[in-house]
Amino acid sequence: MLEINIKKSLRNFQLNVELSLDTPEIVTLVGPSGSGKTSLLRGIAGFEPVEGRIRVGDALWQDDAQGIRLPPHKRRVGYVFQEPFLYPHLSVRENLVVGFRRVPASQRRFAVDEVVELLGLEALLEGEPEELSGGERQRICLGRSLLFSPDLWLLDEPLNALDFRAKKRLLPLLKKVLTSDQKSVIYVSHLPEEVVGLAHRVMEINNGHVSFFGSLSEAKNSCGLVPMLIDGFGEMS
Amino acid sequence: MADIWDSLAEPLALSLRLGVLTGGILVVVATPLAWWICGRKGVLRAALETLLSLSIVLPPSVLGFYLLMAFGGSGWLGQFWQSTFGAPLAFSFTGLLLGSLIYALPYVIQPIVAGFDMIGKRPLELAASLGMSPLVVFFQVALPLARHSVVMGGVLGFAHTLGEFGVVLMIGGSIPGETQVMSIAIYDHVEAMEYDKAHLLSGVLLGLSFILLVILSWLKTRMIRKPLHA
Repeated sequence: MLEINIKKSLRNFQLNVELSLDTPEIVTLVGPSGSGKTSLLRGIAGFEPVEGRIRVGDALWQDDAQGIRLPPHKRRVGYVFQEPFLYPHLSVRENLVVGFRRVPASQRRFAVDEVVELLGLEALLEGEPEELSGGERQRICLGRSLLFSPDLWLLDEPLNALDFRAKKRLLPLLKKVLTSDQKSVIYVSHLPEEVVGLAHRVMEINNGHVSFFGSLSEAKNSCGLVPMLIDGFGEMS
Repeated sequence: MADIWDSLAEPLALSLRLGVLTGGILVVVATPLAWWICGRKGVLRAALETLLSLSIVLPPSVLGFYLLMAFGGSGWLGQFWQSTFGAPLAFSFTGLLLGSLIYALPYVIQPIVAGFDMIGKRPLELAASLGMSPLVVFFQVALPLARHSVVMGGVLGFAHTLGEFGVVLMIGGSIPGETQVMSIAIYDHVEAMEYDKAHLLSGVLLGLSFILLVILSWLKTRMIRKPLHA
């Protein structure tokens, strides 16, 4: 179960988003640049203060009415950034398990070997972070988040900074990870090929407000969605 | 000839001891302070940075004068020191060390603040999202990523202490073995027209300064070489 009710004053408008999911789902978040997508994700993760209520499963991350506001390190999120970042002072292997080490053994959903095999990381582990390509780094980032056993996935255009070949290689892996983890996912994307075959539902934000929330097939018929996404659906269907 | 070398040993040992203690203590004190400053914003941060940088623009004799007033027998700190430890603070090595810590603080803290600022928000947010508390983030992420800046701060603190003259003269005078550091000893030798000794001490300081500058420029290249972001 996921319950999000967030308000925040941004520079030009008010971010005001409500989202309620009864079962784990993959929700793709679309909308023009500067519409509040990243602010929403950052608010959920606790990186930026927002007003409202956030409930993830049985855990209440924030409830202003009760004065509850968990700091970011107590919210179990799998945050995947646009730029794949690895710590340069750690080896690739250490980067992979940096969050895993902080999860109590009883709460771990995946073993390191399992994730290494799932994402094909074996050959990358012995190197240094600076030797890896963008796509390879993002694979490690995905594995790092998966090993953290998050209660909620937040992905902020995770393929955007990658070249075409890296995207093509990573997309099926990304789908495999998110579908096998059975947790709610909020996935910011501008790319239709990421959405098709992955998202259960699509949410569009415009000027901080939800302008559309529905299934993929409904999204195709919605003229309010960003034109690029609609064009993408057209090309793919 | 032996007399010349004898004139070097005591001031050199004293200068090195003062420099190492000042640099070392300031790294321990200034690193968490710099981290705390980096977390502040706007006017508060500007005010803190200004306050901590004051001794850079203040003439050393002015700073030394105020410190002498505070450390002296009628100063509040001097009186407290005398009644607690039974010894005067002014014209002692401890007084010199305290003065050096105040004088060199901005030279140590500024590169460390810059090093923490260079990390940016992303690595710290990522660490928090991976379950690291602020204290763990400081020790396991911020400190290792800014380690060259921290070392640079320590080296700069050491170097500035080595070259200190005005503050030392005001609060330490020139007591051999206690407060007569290299720079003061050179001044004394020149006044006594012992140019051979002044030459030797100056040459050693010149060599030390050169080595320190080489270390600092190497640290700078290490800071620039490794970009943090992909």
